[in-house]
Amino acid sequence: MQIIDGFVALFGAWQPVFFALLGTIIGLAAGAIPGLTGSTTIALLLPVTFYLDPLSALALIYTISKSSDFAGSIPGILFNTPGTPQATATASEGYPLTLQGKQGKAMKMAVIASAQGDMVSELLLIFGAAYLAGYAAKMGPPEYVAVYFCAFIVIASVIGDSVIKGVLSTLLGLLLAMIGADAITGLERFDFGIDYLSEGLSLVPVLLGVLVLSEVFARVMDRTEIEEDRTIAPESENPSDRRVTWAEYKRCLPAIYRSSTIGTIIGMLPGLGATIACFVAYGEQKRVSKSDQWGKGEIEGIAAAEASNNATSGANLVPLLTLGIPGSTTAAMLAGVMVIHGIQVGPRVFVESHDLIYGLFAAGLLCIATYLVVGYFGSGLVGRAIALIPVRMIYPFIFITCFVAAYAVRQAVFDMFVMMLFGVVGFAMRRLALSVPAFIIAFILGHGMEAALRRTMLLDESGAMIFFERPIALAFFAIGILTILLRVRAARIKFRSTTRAATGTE
Amino acid sequence: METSTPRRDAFAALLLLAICVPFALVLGEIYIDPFDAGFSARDFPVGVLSAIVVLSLVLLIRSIRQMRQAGTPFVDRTVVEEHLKFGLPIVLVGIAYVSLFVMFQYLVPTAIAMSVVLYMFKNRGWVRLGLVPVIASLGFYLLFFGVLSLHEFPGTVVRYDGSQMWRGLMALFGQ
Repeated sequence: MQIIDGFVALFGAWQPVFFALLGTIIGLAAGAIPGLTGSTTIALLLPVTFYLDPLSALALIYTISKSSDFAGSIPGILFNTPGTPQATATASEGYPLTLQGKQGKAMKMAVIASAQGDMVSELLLIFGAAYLAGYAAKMGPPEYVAVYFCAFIVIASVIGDSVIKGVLSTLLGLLLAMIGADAITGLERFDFGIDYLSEGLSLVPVLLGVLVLSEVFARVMDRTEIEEDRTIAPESENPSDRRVTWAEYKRCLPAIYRSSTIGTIIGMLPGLGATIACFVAYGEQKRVSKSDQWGKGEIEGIAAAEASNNATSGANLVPLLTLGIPGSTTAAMLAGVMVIHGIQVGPRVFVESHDLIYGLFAAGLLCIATYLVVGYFGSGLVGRAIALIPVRMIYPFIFITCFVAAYAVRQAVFDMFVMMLFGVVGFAMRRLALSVPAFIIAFILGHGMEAALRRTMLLDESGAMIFFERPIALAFFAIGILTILLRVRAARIKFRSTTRAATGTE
Repeated sequence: METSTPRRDAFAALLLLAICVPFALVLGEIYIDPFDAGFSARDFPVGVLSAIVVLSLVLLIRSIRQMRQAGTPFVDRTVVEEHLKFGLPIVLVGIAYVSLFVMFQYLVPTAIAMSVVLYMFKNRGWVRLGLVPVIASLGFYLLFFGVLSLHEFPGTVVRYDGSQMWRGLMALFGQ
């Protein structure tokens, strides 16, 4: 059992265990504070990971993302203010329960379902990813070009409401990835005479700017949220209102497993994240359920939403570890940390960094167990603690931390300016409905795609015709083209129905 | 995430075209090895830039046409004023902070910038605007330049050796 090797690696020194537990606690706090998401916190902590050994660094990031996925439900249930976008469906069922004094029951159901969904996904990752990676390791540069193409097209067309803007966001990421040394010859490109750009744009300042600083800019613009006040409704004195009864758990079990499956499948697809998974699972459960309590505090709704959104967290790593394609912003940051620590991202990671990868999986399992215990017994305490933290105090701290975090990477003031610039670019992208995740993923993968394409062109004199001799490459190209055609068709149907509705009302 | 509107599409296209300009200007400077087989170092950037320009123009033309049909003005004054009133100041604070960091090193600029940003987020009172920034700056300083041993950029106006301060502090605790 390779996972045992993982536990040996994790518990072999105090640091990996400590950072796995620390990440879980940080993730719980980050997810529970409205506006501070797991990915924002990870971006802020990226420079700290440079000072850690690879397993501790990866464990810290992975556990933050896992526990923050669950913790977003806490403010959603208590204050009707979801801590993360994926907790929106949970809030719609959890907050009515809080108004009835049953917040303890709602939060306990949320943590049980989250842990179970997460466990299903983690087990798939542990036992399935290495198997898939075995096939992926046989792929050559032409197949990789097709995989990159497919991933970019899928991500660009499924995130956001406009295919053309999704594609443009991806292209922008590719363009900026070309700054610095050329992938094949090593000659400098687009450095604009600036020495700091000769090695390309540093990943951390770009991520901090686009993900974190832009969020601070957005919050200072949003005047209403700064005023926000949070109070918790009084809890019922009845003990059965404060816990999940066995009968309730048994009733929710099919919902948990159905939603875990949905979340795992959606999590494996690049670009589709926890938010989409939770709404699909919530909708599906509502469709099959016989209850008339939906929207008024249906505990099955909490179970479905939470199991599905946490089930994406392990599955999200499947494309990263098997193909080297990060399917989400968090996976992209994990890929960035792997590259910084000299770990090759992709299928060979299971051979070259065996203990490290299984150590990471073991950290994931430890994280699930920890947040299950902390969440079950301490969600109320976390809720009361975050009620005391004024939102208006958090963002100034984040603002200041961004600068020192950007500086920490190369200890260069230039990186602080880069972060500022990308903060403005990220803010503009958000306001103009361009896709930030598509941009980030393309920025991280751009170099690899160009290198694969140019190596492919060197393989055969026939040029692009080589792709027609490779069935796997053709299949990936076909999936990409099919995805974009389906998305364009769906957009046209929606446009026509909107136009018809508008004409009908006139 | 915001939803797309013709106005947002038009500005998104203009933003992307503006970003492309400096790249297009230096595109010709990319060296091409005459003996290079397959794709050269310039081909991929040319392809990406061309695709951005073409798609941005399509988006721009389409959105302008939609705005004309709907009679929507190209610029919404209230949105511009809102961005100038709340968005621009925080960007300027960021630029000023980095400039002050270059001149006076970390501690003082951080306390000042934090106080200003706390004010922008509607915090009031001497505790939040005075005490919190000073304590937080010291905390950050100890964490990053002490514990994590970052090298502090020497100030062009005021210069001090933070590592000496850290060593002195550690000596106080007998380490």
